[in-house]
Amino acid sequence: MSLTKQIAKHIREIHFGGNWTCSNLKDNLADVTWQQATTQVYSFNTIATLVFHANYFVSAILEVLHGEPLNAKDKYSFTHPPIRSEEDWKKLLDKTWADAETFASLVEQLPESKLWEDFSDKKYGNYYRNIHGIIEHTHYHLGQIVLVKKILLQPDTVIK
Amino acid sequence: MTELQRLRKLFSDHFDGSPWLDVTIMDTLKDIPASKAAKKIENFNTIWQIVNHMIAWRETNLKRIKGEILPSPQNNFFEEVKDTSEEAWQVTLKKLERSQHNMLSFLSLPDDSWFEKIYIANNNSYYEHLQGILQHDAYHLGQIVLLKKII
Repeated sequence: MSLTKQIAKHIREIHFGGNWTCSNLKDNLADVTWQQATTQVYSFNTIATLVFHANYFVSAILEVLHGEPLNAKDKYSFTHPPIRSEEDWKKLLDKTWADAETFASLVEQLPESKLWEDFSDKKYGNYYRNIHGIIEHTHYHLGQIVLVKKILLQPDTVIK
Repeated sequence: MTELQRLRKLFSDHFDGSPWLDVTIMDTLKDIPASKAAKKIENFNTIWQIVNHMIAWRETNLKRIKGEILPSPQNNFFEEVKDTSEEAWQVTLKKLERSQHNMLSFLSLPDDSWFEKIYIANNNSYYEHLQGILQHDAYHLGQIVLLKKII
């Protein structure tokens, strides 16, 4: 399997399943309601914020893959439009799945040589580092989503 | 740079280097005392149990790549920590460092002909077992960072 196909496989797996870790975003979010997704526990980000944040960087990298400049700022990566209904929540999820699939499709079509080029600017490292970074970032926040969900499902959850 | 060297760098960065994620395993764990590592929050695994689970899967996957057939245990390597002394916590952290050393040593070998080999029990390639550990570490690191905030 070519390296770009291998990386695209990991992008799909963290979102839709099939990975060695046996945990993916879509399955873990399938039964989360919009109320649960927007409920804060302890001082943690809500599930909705974590999903938005993970997708924010996928969206940013997609723009670069489409030939646009990198336009991502950490400080905006947790600020999402209000989610006040199941429809709002579904909209965020649908965008997350659509962006993930587009991201995987674009990566698998890249010539391998593209992976060694600077990603937007030399200071960010090459495409390989950034694409792998996004995959691991999504795993990192999936772990948090799973933990927040477990807390929410406790009978005596500490809600703040 | 070969893919083996790139993997080695990813492992190195995640452990105690400069990963894209900006959070490393050792930076996160270094200031957690045994009492906090062993503290149970609700019915979740403690930080200590998660670290043991990470070590066990690192060791298991490395052995699988080297050709051993090892079943996945029913408890998924989540076990009660009986000795919660500071000394025992330092031993756990040393064990984690040793797992990293073993991983990096293996990835320093020039031979990568095993990448595409399939581990028969789960049908994943050996390469997937390595990427799997990186992703598994990232997943649990995210949880440790949250648990650390509330203990």
